[in-house]
Amino acid sequence: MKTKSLDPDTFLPLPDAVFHILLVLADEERHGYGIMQEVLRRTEGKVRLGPGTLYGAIKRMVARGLIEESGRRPDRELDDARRRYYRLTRLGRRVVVAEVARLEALVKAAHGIKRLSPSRFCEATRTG
Amino acid sequence: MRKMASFRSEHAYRFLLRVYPAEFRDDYGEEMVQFFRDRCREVRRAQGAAGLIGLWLHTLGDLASSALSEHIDSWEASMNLKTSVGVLLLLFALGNIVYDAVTQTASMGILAIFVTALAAALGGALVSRGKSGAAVRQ
Repeated sequence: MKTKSLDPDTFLPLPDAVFHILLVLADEERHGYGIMQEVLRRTEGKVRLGPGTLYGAIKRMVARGLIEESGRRPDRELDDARRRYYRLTRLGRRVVVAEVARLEALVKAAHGIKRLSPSRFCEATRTG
Repeated sequence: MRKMASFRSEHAYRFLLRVYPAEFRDDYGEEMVQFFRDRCREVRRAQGAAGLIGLWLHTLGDLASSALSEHIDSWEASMNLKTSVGVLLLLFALGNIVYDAVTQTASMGILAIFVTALAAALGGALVSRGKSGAAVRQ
């Protein structure tokens, strides 16, 4: 079993599926299908996680201490008792915050590149 | 009719889960079947039974890539670091030798020297093993 690191930076950069799942769980705990639906909604249909990809990512995140199974069990009338709910751990929250900060810094650096500035691009397409 | 198609799909998916390592299947198999069942229900509601074709295409792609990933994880977990590094180095060395032998005739000489050295080392090991075995029997 791998030793759990407590430094959020050691987890970066996060694979896409992991990042999406952590973002979704930052709001509230959810079961697997709920995670997939919320990721799909937030990405406007661009990212649809299959069960293998989803639960493979969940397995690795649980092993590394980023998420944990919630003790919450839904009312039988409302949901299937076999569903397991997952939530962020404190470490998971720190990791997703660190990843968001990393991506923000990347975007900021990209905006600093003159050739990539939106106004320059629009001007180029008008003349070109 | 539509419910029968979903039931068969779920049954088929449950069977296909066997491609995953047993430990992964034990931990997450039921949730994955539940997930697939929910997905079938959603697709059937939105697109009818014909929508299951698209669902299956997506599911099979997901199954192939994720099952391979899980088997690699499982293999890595079962090998210790020394063995893994040793295997990788050996594969790398063998790959280089084969490549050189096929593409460069000059390397045939190097290959011959390597094979001779390897044979001598193995032969020496076998001889010393035989001697120590004889000593034990005496």
